Amino acid sequence: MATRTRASKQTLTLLSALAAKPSQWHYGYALSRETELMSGTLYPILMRLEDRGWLETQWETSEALAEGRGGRPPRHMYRLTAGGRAWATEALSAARATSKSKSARATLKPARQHPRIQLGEPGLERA
Amino acid sequence: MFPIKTMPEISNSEKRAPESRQQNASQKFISFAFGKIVSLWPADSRDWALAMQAELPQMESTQERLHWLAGGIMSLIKAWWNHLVYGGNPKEATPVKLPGIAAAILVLLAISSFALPGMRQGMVAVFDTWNFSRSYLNSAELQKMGREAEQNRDAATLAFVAMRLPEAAPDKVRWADLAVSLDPSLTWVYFQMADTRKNSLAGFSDRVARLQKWDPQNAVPLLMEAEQSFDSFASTSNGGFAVWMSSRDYQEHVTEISKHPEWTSTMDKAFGAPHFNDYQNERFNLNLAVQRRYGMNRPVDLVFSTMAARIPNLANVMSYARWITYQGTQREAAGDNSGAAGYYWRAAHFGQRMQLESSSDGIERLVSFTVIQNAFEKLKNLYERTGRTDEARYAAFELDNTKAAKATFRENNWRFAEAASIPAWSALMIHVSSLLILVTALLSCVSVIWLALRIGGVAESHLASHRGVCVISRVAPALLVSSIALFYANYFPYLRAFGLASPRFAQNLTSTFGGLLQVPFFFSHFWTYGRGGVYFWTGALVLGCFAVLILLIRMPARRKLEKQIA
Repeated sequence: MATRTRASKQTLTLLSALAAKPSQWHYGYALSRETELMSGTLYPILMRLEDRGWLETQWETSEALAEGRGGRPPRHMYRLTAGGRAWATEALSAARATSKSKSARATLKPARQHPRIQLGEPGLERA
Repeated sequence: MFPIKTMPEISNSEKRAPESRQQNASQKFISFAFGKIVSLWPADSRDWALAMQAELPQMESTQERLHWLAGGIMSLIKAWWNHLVYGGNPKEATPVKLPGIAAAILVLLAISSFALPGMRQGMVAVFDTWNFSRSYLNSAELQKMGREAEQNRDAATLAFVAMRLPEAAPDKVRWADLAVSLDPSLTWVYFQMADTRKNSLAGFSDRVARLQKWDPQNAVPLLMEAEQSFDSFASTSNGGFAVWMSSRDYQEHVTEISKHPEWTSTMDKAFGAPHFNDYQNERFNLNLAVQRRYGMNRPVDLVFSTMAARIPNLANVMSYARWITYQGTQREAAGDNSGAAGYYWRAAHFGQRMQLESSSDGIERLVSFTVIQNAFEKLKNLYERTGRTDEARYAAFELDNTKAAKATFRENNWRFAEAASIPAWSALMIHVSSLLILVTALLSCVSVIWLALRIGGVAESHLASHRGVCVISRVAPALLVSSIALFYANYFPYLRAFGLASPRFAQNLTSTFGGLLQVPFFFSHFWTYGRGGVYFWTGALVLGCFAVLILLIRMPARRKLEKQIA
């Protein structure tokens, strides 16, 4: 249901991370590091986004696990749905417009890249 | 297929050999704790707990895992909240459950419980202990009662008010006089309305004379007269004792006391009086009768009034008991054994009357034991020395009896202190349930008003705040009724103690409600009462050490990250 809900600063940060590579699947831990959101904040937001149909979730398949990483459980993956992308674009645009005012500037903190990503480790750009 | 290799953390994890990682104790603990989180997570959304758990192997440091665990606990709480509010359904699909008939019945039940006099009494008693200034009738209330009683010619209320008004109150003595003229059986109020140490009541001597005339067999009105004299030479202006009173050399006492024959003469009459009544029972009965007549139903006020009841000046009693014992030893030294025995017996008889007839179970009784013990010790020695074996045996028996009674008295007081932990727990439950009643009553009212104001705003029903209020309005009445039940179950013995209140059970009433008073007293005197300060600083020190420890643990992780960046 396309209800208009005001997005929090944390939700906007997560949306900007998810919307940066919308077709790609994301992992919880990677999102946590990228957005600097604590897991206790991140997961309830993910759960809420999924409830509203804005987030698609999927468990890793057994084929993926078989590719040399045995011994660990399958992981949960996330990406925005079409509706979620539309809402994210709208919410982020609205937030950017608001950020012009001094008081709201802080709410649009861009998702900080992980230091290792900034260092340009080989292979990371493929993500 | 999903391109897993492109995920950065997977690239990193590939560099590690999972099997080479040693499962240290902290990892085991975190894995175990996460297992518990998964098992406690609501079944309808447990996948999210598993999702969080599945990320654990990706973390390198214990610190990260601990943060993840803390997040897991927080998410668990939020998941349960959502489960309770939405019942496991997607938020938009869940119909808003407004409070139903059950909530209305519970609210009505809660309101009707206040129709019980015991419930109202209990709440008033608890509020009285929370605010000591309202726990005792104030001057304005007393003045109002006094004026009404004067119009109605109500002697008991006039005596009640006169007894409680401060000495400076202009109507205090006038209302006492009016009460006594209306009902002479209330003459005892002249003793209970006067301050023990000051005796500065207007027309004091005249009132003491009236009291002595009304109750001529009683030692207490005579003690009251002697106290005025005693205060003049044994006390300082600031209420302390004169220097000679603390001197170890009894000759100094003798020198000072010899200068005041008026005091020794009055005390002699008091020690010879056949009865000892400090009018505590009369005071208690009057308090209870007036409280019940006015429908006050305030046990804490009654307890405070009982605790504040006047008793004779015990320093005065002890000084004279010591004085006549000294007179006896002087007679013994002069060879007048019969005269010496007379002094000792006078002290012993007075102590025995005080012990038997005093209604106080406190220090008054302890003083009477001391007076009796000292007197019989002298008598035993005197009779043994003079070869009067039978009298010596009797004195020895009385001496042993008094020592045993004194020890039992002290032990009982100690036992009471030990047993007080039981009423203290029940008192704590009463205070906690009172607090719960207030909070849940407030939540019930606010949530119902909130819903009533927004009942048309169905479009907002998806908002968490609206759903939260709906949950509160359904849950709070149930909690309110449970709190009331808890309160009433714990307050019942207090209610019974107040219902049975009589002079005979006055001590029970004081000790029962004393427990109720202890709890707020502890919190309001946290720094000075018991070891509150010690506990606080110990806690602060432990928390400080814990914070330093966390910083020390985090430092290597930071250095590691800095190295990686470098």
